[in-house]
Amino acid sequence: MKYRVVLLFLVGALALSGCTLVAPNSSPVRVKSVPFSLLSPTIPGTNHVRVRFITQPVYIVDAAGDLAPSSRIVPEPPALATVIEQLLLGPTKIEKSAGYTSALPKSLFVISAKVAESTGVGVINFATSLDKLSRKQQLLAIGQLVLTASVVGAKRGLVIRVAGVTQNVLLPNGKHATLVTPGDFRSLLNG
Amino acid sequence: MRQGSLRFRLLMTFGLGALILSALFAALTYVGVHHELVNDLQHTDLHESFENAELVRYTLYTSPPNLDSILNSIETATDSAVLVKTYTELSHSDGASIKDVPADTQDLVTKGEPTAQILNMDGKIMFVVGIPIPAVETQFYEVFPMNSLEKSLSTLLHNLLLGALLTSLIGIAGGLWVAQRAVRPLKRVSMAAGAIAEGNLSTRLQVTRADREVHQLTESFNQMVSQLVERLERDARFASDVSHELRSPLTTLATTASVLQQHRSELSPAGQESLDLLTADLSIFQSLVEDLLEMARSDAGAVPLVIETVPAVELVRQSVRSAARRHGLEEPPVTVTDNVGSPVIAVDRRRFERVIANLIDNAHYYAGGATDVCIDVEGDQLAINVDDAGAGVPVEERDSVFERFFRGRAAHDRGIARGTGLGLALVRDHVRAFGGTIRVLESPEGGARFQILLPYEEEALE
Repeated sequence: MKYRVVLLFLVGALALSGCTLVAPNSSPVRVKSVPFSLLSPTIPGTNHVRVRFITQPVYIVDAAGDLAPSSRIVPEPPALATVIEQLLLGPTKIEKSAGYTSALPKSLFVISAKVAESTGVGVINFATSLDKLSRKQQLLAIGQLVLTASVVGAKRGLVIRVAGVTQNVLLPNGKHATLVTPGDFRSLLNG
Repeated sequence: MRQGSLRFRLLMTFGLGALILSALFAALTYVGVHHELVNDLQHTDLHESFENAELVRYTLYTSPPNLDSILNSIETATDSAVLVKTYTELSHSDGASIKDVPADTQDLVTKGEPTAQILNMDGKIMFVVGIPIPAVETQFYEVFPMNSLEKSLSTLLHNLLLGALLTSLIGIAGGLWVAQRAVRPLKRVSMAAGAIAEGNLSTRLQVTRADREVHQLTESFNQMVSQLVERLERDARFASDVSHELRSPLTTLATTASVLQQHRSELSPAGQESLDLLTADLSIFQSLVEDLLEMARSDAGAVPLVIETVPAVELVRQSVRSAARRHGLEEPPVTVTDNVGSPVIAVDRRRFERVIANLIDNAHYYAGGATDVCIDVEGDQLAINVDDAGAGVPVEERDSVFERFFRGRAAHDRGIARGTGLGLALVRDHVRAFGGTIRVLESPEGGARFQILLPYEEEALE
C-alpha cells in the first residue's frame, strides 16, 4: 500500500514535470467588461464622431530615382494636411527594404495645408524651405508634394509657402513657377 | 535493518507521513499561488491593453500618422508587442508580428468580440489580448510575454519540492529517533528473556527513568520473572522433598530385596521371577529418585558448584574408568587427537564424572555401548566426543533428547524402560553450569556422537 502511494507520488511528479507551468487556453476567451467605451461605435466626448479610413496614394522615390505611388490609409474625408503628414513619414520599412526613399527631409514641418475646393489649388505652408536640397532632390521633393496633393483635390496645382511667403519653385524644365501643377512633374513618374 | 522490523515500519511511517504531508502542503501552496499570480498578471495585462487601446483610438482620431511611434512607445513601456489593424493596413510595433495573433482571435475581434488567450508559442507562454475599436475601424492586439511569471512559478515549485524533500528527510530522522527510543526497551527485554532462557534466572531489567509505558513494561517483566523463579524454586523444593522422602523407604525396600536375593534359591520359580522383577524395578526407581533429587537440588541451587581447574585428559580418563567400573561395563577407549596439548578445564569434578557416566550409560542402554571417547579441539573450545554403536539420533530429535523425560525413537523401538528420562537433561544442565554446550552429531562410524564443548586453557609449563 505504502509503495503504491510512493509510486503515485512519483508518477504525479513526473507528469507535472512534463507540463508547462502556465496552462494555455484551448480557445480565445471572451472579455466581459471593456472600459473606456472602447466598444462604442463613436468616440466618447465628441459629437458622435466615427473615424473612417480610406487608402490614399502618396508619392515616394523608387530605387530608380523616379516617383512612384504608395498606398497609405487616412481618415475619411482625406485632408491635405493628413496626407502630407503621411508623406513626410517617408517609406515604410518594407518599402525601405525595397529601395524606396523620400526626397523630403524629415525635419520639414507643416504649418498648414489645405485645398481651396472652389479653385482646386492646394496651399502648403512649411516652416522651413527646401532650398538646402540639391537641385535633383528639390525637383523630386516638389514632385512628391504636387502629385500627392493632386489626389486629395489640388488638381489645378499647388502653391508652396515658407512661413507664409509664396515660393518660386524649380520645375523639371528648368523654369520657376509659384503654382506648380501635376503635369509639370509627370515626367518624373516611373513607367 | 529488515523490512519486517518495527524500526523499519516506524521509519517508513514517519518518512512517508512527512512526505505526504509536505507534498500536500506544497501542492496546495503551489496551486494557490499559481492561481493568484496568473490571475493577477492577466488582470494587469488586460487593464494595460485597455489603456493602450484607448491611446491608439485617440491617436487615430487626432494624428493617425503618429500611430507607429505610439505603438513603439507602448512596446518600450510595457515590454509587449502591439498590433493595430486599421481599415486594410496593419501597423505594429518593431517587435510584433501578426503571426503572434492566432487566426481565431483575429476572426473574433474582427466580428467585434474582445478576447484574451494564453498561448504556448514554440515553448514560450504568451498572453494575447484582442480589442475591437469600432469608433476608428480598428482592431487592437497586444501580446504579453509571460516568461517572468513562468520563472517565478518555476522558482516557487523548486523551492516547494526542496522543502518537501527536506521535510521528508527530517521526518525520517525523527522516525529513526523515535524508533530507537521505542525499540531500545524491547531489545533490553529480549536480551533479558534470552538470558533467563539460558538459565540465568537472576537476570532483571533495570528500572530507570523512562516513559510510563516502558516503566510499566519493565516492572511487569521483573515481576513476572520473580514469580516464575519463585515457582521454579517451589517446584524444585517440592521435587527435592519428595525425592528425599522417597529415599528412606526405597533404601529399606532395596535392603529387603537384597536379603531376599540371598535366599533366592529357597523361593519357588514364580517367586524368583517376581523377586528379579522387583529388584530390577527398584534399581530403576532408585536411579530415578537419585536423578530427580540431583536435578531438584541443582535447580534450587542447594548444592553449590565446586569449580576446580583440572587437567582435562586425565579427568576424562578417570571419569570413563569410574563409570565403566560402577556399572560393570566394558571401558571404551579414550583417544586424544594430535592437536590437543595439555588442556585444563574449570569444572565441578563430581558433576563432570556424572556427565560422562550418564553419556556412557545412555550409550549402553540405547545404542549398543560407547565405542570411543575422543578428546579434540573445536575452534577455541575443547571437544569431548562420546561415540556409540547405535543407529544415531534422528536430526529432529537432536535437541529434544536433552529435554526432561524425553524418550526418543530408540527407546520406543527397543521397548526399553531402563532409563529415567533425566540422564541427558542432567548432562545438559551440568555442562551449561561449566559454561559449555552439548550437542548430538553423527559419529564417523554412523552412530551418535555426543559432543561436549568446554572453554579450556593450555596448562602452564613450570
